[in-house]
Amino acid sequence: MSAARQSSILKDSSLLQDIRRDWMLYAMLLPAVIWFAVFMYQPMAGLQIAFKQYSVFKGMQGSPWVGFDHFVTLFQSDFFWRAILNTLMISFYSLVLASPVPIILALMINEVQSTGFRKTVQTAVYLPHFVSFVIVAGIVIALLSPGNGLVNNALEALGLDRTYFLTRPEWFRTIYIGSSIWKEAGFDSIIYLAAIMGINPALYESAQIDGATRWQMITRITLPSILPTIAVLFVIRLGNVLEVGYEYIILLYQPTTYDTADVISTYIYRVGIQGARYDIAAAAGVFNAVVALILVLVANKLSRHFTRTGVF
Amino acid sequence: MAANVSLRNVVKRFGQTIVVNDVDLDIRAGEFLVLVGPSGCGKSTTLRLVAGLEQVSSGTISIDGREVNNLAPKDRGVAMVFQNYALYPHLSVRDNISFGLRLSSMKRADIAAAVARAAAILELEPLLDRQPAELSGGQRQRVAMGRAIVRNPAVFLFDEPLSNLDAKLRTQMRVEIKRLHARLGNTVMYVTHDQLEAMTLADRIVVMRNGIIEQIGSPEQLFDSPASAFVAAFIGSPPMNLIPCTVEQSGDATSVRLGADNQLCLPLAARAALIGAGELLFGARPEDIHLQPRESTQPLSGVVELVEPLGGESLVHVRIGGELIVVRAEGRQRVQSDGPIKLHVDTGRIYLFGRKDDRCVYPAPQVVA
Ligand SMILES: Nc1ncnc2c1ncn2[C@@H]1O[C@H](COP(=O)(O)OP(=O)(O)OP(=O)(O)O)[C@@H](O)[C@H]1O
Ligand SMILES: [Mg+2]
Repeated sequence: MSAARQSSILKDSSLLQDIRRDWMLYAMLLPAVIWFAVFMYQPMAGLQIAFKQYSVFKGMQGSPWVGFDHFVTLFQSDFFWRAILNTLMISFYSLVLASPVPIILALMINEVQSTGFRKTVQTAVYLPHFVSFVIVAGIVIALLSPGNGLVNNALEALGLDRTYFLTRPEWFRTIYIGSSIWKEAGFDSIIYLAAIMGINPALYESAQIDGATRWQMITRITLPSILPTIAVLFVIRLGNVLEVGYEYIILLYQPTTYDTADVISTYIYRVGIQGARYDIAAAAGVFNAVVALILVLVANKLSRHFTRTGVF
Repeated sequence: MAANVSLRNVVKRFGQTIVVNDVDLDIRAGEFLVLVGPSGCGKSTTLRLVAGLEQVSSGTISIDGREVNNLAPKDRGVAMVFQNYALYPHLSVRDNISFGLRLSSMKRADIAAAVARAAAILELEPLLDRQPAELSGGQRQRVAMGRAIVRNPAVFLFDEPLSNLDAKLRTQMRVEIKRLHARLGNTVMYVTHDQLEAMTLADRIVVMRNGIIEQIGSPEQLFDSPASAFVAAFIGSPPMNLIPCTVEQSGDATSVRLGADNQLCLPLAARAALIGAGELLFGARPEDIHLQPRESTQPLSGVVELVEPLGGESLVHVRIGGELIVVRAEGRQRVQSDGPIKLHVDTGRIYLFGRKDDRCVYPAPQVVA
C-alpha cells in the first residue's frame, strides 16, 4: 500500500468515506433504517398532541398548546394510577414467574438423551407460539367456561364449586400469566438452547472426570455459561415491562376485572380510541415511553455491573 | 504415585465403524507412553476409553491391576488435559484448578494447599486470580495441567495438549511436561501427531493406524527398526525417503535397482531375506545419504531439483530416476541447483519394505518386547 493511500484512509475516515468503501453493508442496513424512520420516528411528530388541546377539526398544527395540562389530568385520575399499578404488577409477576420458565425448559430439553423424544418435545412446546392470541383467548375462555369448561367440570368432579374465573379480578393475573407462559415459554427457550449448544463439550467431559454429577454440571457449567444470554434477555424484558400485551388483555378482560386487568395500554386504548381523547392518550403514551426508557437504562447498567454484559 | 494400565483386546465401534480394533497394550507404572498416528486413526478414542469418557465395545481396560470397564471416570484415578484446554470461562484460574476438589467433600484448607502446590509446580501463582480470557495460550495450557495435577492422579491423559500453541511455545511446554513427569513420576498417556514431540517425550511410542497398533517401541527402536514403511515415514523429520526398487540376484551378489541408472549392492546378509523378492520399496533416511563418499557408502547419481538452506544444514531435493529424494547435507556445502550430482548412500543403513503389505523385509525385523 502506498504511503499516500494509507494516509488517505487514516485522514478521511468520515462517514461519507465509510459509506463509499462499505456501501454494501450500508445498503443492507437501509431497509431497517427506513422501517424505523417510517414507523417509529415519523409518528413521533404526533407526540406533540400530548401537549395540545387536540381537535380533529383543527388538526395537529391548528390545535392550541396547553403545556402539561393533560399530564396533570392523568395524574389526578384514579383510573390512570390503577392502570400503572396493574401494569407493574402484571409485569413484575411475569418477570419473576415467566422469565425462568424458558430457561428451565431449555435445561430440561438439553438433558433429554433420546433424539426422537427431544425433537417431539421441542415441536410440541414451540407450536403454541404460532397460535394467534385470538385463538389462545378462545381456548382459555372455553377451558374456563362456567357452563361446560374442562376446568370447572374437573372442579365439580372433585366436589368443588363452579367458578366463573374470568369475571373474578383475583384470578385475572394468574390466567393471563399462566396462558402466556404456555404460549411463549417453549419458543423463548430456543435462544437459551442455542446458547447451551454453544458451550464447549470438553467442559462437561472435564467435569465428568472430576466427578461432577449431572446436577452439578447444570448448576456449575451450563447456567454460568448462559448467564450472559440470560442477562441480555432480562434487560430486554425489563425494558418492555410497561408494554404488557394489550391485545391479549383486551380479549380476556371484562369491566368486572378492570380492577386488576386494566393496564396502561388498554387504558390508552379505551380513553384514546374509544373515547376519542387522543391528546390524553398521547400524554399517557409519552409518560409510558419515558418510564420505559429509564428502566432500560437502569437495567443495562445493572447487567453491566453484575455480569459484564449489556445490550449496549 | 503411579499405576500401570493395560488394555486387552479392546474394541470400540461407533455404529458400524470400528475405530479401535483389538488393541493390546501394557503401560508400565510411571512410563511416558506416546500415541501417534495419522488423523482419525483412533488415538483420542483410545485415550477416552481409558478415561472412561467412552465405553469399550469389547475387551477390558485395567488400571493398577483393577478392571475399570464399569467404573465412572472419577473413580479411575485419571486426569485428562484436553487439546482446547477446556477451562471454565466463568471461573478464575484458582477456581478452575480447584473445581474438581470442590465437588468432593474436601476441606477448604486442604483445597487451598493443593491449589498452592500445583500453582507452585507450574509457576501459576501470579495468575491465580485471573480469568481464562486474560491468559495467553501457554498459560491456559499450564492451568489445564494444574487442574489435572491437583487431583493427584495415578495416570495422566494428554490429548494433543500443545497443538494449539505456536512452534516456540510448543518447544518450551514440551520441556515443561518432561520436567513435570520427571518430578511427579505419574504414568502418562500422551496423544500427539507431532513426531518430534513423540520422539523427545516418550519412553515408548505406539504408532497407530486405522485403529490397530502398527508398532510399539522406544523412540530409538522405531527410528532404527521400523516395522513397516508406514512407521518409517511417520517417525523422523524429514521423513525417510521411500522409492520403488527391484531386487536383482546373480550368483552370490544381491543388489537393488533404482530406476535405469542406479544400482546398489547389498551385504551378503541380505541374501537370505530377499530370496524371491521382486518389486520392493527402498528406504533411506535423509541423514544416511551423503554428498561425499564415506567408508560404507555406495554412489548414486541424480539431478538436483531444489536446495533448501536451513542455516546449519541444507535439505537437497534430488531426482533419481523418476523419484524425488531428500538429502540432509551438513554444514554449508555449496550445491548447485539443476546440476547433476553424485550421492553416497550408507548401505549399512538402508531399508527394504514390501510393496503390497509395506512390512519391513530388510534388515530382518527385530522382535521387540
Ligand atoms: N462419537 C463418535 N461417533 C462416531 N464416530 C466417531 C466418534 N468419535 C470418533 N469417531 C470416529 O472415530 C475415528 C477415530 O477418531 P479419533 O478421534 O480417535 O481420531 P484421532 O486419532 O484422535 O484423530 P486426530 O488426530 O484427528 O485427533 C474417526 O474416524 C472419527 O470419525
Ligand atoms: Mg484426536
